[in-house]
Amino acid sequence: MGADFFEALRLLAGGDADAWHVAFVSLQVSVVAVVGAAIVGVPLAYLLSQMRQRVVVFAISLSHATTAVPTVVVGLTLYFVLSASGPLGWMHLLYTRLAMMAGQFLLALPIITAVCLVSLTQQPSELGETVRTLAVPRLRRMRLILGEVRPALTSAVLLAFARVFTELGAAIILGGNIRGETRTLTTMIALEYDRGDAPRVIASGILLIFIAFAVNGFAHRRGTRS
Amino acid sequence: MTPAVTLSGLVIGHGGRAVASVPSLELGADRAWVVTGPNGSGKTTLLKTLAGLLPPIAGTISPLPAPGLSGCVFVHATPVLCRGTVRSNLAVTAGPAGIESVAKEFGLTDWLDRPVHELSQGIRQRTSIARAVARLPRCLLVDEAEGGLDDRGRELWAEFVRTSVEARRVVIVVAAHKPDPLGVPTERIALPGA
Repeated sequence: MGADFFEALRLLAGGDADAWHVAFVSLQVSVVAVVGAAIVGVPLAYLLSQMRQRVVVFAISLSHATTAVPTVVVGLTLYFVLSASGPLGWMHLLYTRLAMMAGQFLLALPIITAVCLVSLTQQPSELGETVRTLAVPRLRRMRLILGEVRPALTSAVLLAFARVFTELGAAIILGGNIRGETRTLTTMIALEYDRGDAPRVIASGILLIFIAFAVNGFAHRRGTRS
Repeated sequence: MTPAVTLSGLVIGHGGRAVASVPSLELGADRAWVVTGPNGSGKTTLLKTLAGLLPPIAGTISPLPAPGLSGCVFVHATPVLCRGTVRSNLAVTAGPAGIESVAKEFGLTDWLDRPVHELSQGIRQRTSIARAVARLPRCLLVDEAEGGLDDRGRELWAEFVRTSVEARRVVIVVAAHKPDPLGVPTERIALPGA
């Protein structure tokens, strides 16, 4: 075990091109998915927060429930949609990074929406009243109110990133673990574990943890500074 | 034209439950109006109804109140400021020149670039009122402004009210516990309470 660990460190320090490329693919897919989910989820949460109490309660329950959907279920559902006989089969997206991004987008969206929505509903009503009475235009009103929940937005994005960056089910079903194309750190760990290549499994694990911590640290610093 | 707000047979309250009724009257810009009454008598409810933030239970307000559209701006008793600085809060309603002018009027020039979380309650209250004034409302509704203001703040606020009344440029309605919180001639609207 000790020898495997040192071999893993040697692989990383030696700039194992394969491992670093896989790390890049993982990061690329997850960052695009989370940014896309934030672009859709944050305004969606804002719009939902402006609706009647009954709608807000339903939206919170629904978004919370969908955060619990297993990654393999999302992967499988999208697989049937994107497969050759599926409704979007003509797009030939299956086993591409775009398909993985779509799967991770669907995993990240409910997390970002749920956290933002809960945070927006906890804002004092005086804030909404103030921006309404000051006749702030709608888009600027949204920006001002979202500015008040910025720490929660950072948490939402980090939670979503943590979920998608470390998920395996959707990545393996939609990406197919193609070397140099759709292989991510989690799918590589699964593959190398089956092969019994312990140093590569450990090296991938170290990279996965390192990147996850680095992204969290960076986003947290940005969030607290602002 | 001198702005005015006309109330007719107005009953105010929350969720269909009446809190107070207000005599029919015309709130003109030729004087400042002070709504007085004990706690729970409906002072804030009246101001929010005039601002269009609450619907009246009965009666009419003319022009029809609608937040942001009727030109009536409501200022909360506890100042509500957005993240950022005094300047960024004033920028919500004013351009660069307007910011400097309203900051001078309310003694905020030295505070413009200070983050709002570092401000005292009084400076927050001044910022909140200045931001509302910068919107150039036809009707300014201020809830218990005197609570957080120091002597200098009260002086500046009273000066603003005095000049506004002289110029008849804005209908000013203030909720207060004291009948004469501004030190300027005012007309009183007394709510009896429960």
